[in-house]
Amino acid sequence: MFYVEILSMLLLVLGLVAVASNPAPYYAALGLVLAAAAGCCVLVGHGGSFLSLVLFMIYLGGMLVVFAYSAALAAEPYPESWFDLSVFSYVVVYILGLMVVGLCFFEGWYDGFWVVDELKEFSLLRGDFGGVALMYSLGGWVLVVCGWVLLLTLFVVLELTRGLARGALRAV
Amino acid sequence: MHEWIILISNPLLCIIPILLAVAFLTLLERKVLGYMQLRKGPNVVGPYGLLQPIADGVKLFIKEPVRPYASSPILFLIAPMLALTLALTLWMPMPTPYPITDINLGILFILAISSLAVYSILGSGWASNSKYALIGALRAVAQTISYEVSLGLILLSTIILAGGFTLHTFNVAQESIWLLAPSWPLAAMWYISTLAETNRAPFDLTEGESELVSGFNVEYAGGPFALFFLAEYSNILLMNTLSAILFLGAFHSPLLPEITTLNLMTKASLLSILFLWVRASYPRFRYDQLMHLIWKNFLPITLALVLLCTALPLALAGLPPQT
Amino acid sequence: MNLITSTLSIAILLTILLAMVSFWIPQMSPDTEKLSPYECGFDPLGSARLPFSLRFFLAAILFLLFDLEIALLLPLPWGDQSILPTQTFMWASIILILLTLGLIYEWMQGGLEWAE
Repeated sequence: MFYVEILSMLLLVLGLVAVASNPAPYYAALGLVLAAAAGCCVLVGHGGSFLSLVLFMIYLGGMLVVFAYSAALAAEPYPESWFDLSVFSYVVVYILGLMVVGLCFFEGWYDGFWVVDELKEFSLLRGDFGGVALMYSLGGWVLVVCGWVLLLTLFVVLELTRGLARGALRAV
Repeated sequence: MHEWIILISNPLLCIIPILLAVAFLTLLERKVLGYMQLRKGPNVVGPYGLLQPIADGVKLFIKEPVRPYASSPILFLIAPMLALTLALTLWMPMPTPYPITDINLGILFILAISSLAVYSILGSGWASNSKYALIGALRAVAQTISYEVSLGLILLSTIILAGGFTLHTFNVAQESIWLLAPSWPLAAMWYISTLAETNRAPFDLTEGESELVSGFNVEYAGGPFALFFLAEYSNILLMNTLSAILFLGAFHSPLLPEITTLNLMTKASLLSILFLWVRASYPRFRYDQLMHLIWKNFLPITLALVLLCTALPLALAGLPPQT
Repeated sequence: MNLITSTLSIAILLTILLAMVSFWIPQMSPDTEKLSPYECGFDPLGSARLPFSLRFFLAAILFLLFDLEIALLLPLPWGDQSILPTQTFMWASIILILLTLGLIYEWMQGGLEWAE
């Protein structure tokens, strides 16, 4: 399991490099997918299984799908992938930079190793689940704020895409 | 050594029967459709055409695969592989009655992984760099994500009734009565949504032959197409097994776990046959009808039903035990 | 190595194997006609990447909003077990009502109409 953890951390960093090296949006979306999936694996390894699965579902299955979907609709005849010179130079620079930083922090980087699950062994609820359940008692107002934000987003999107007289974008 | 054997043999003992089941589901589909149209269906290869799927498989894999020059080569190949990998991984937490991995958040796991299937559709359509493929992919993605909303809400209601995200709790929760009885509107909407989610007739707009030739997989031939095909049919079987677990719970007796398997799989295959029957009976929807069905009918009803399913256990003091 | 990772890796290996077999067994004889994008017999016209259709974009955004809402509601089975389940129910209904209001607004504004 330890190796899986190391592997997913590596993939997380590589995904970040893949996004940061500025390829065409489609490929950047691919990099984000990789980074998000690897990040969720890291989270699982630290005991946050509910958190990571929900993040996986929302971020990978929701937001990035919408992003990739919009990116796929945008026309671009010759998208730049990582093997084009301009992007590849970025990749090389980033990886070299990573190696330098990695050498600086080679010892003791794991000092702040944390675990999501804080409850004792024989408790019925894991900290992960019990903590989320608090959202429905103590954290109720935060929940309402979340709902309100969602509603507001809906209004904003509708106003933006209204078309005809008022909106900024034109409905096809 | 022993541990490694378990690690390798357990997944294989699940994956190989799935692939076999998929093969025979295609045969069953052709047979059922054939008899519904008063013809025989495949009956030449082997007795009653039983060897037809094997012949089909061999043929698909010795056909020349095409890699169009306009496509993005890597993504074009990764997409079908991703589709099949996800389809096989989805079976991992299925309690039949003992899953490969007993994940306590099994339903969330299935939701999360199945939401990734969109990427394979989008990737294949985009990477093909062909108009039909892209239009097909866009339609398929819009349809799949729209119906994912209603699937998620329905799942949430059943989870609240059953009391946990573990799939096994559904077996326990339904020992006295199937969830189908108290929540049949949910079950009906769930079944229709699974039809749409797996892009089956009458919602197979992604491959509407008259306009789009074959949808997002136009440019695929031979092996890569076979991967898509396997993934699609494996997803159909998975969805039906899931429906059977959620609404027609199989009684689990630890003394005779085989009975549970038999019970569950019989129900799943009956539901699959219903899929084929639907395909033989109904004409294809129009796209706007498809979208209206989910956004204007299913979504308001499921929103109301989530509220009802939260209220009922509280009102009747029937909260499920904590898991 | 646990069963999750081993199942995942076996599934990946199997698909890679199948893909490799499919490129290894058949005889390959590509030519330009065969490899051109499929477009009803004639040479492909224009780019395959389409301009943007707002309807599909709206559907995607709506999906995103409701997906987030489902995520907010997912802890309900545990929330129901709290000391005051009716309070849980109150918060859940507030969220649901907010989202329903959003849906009603969108419906009235015609955001759900697909074809006029």
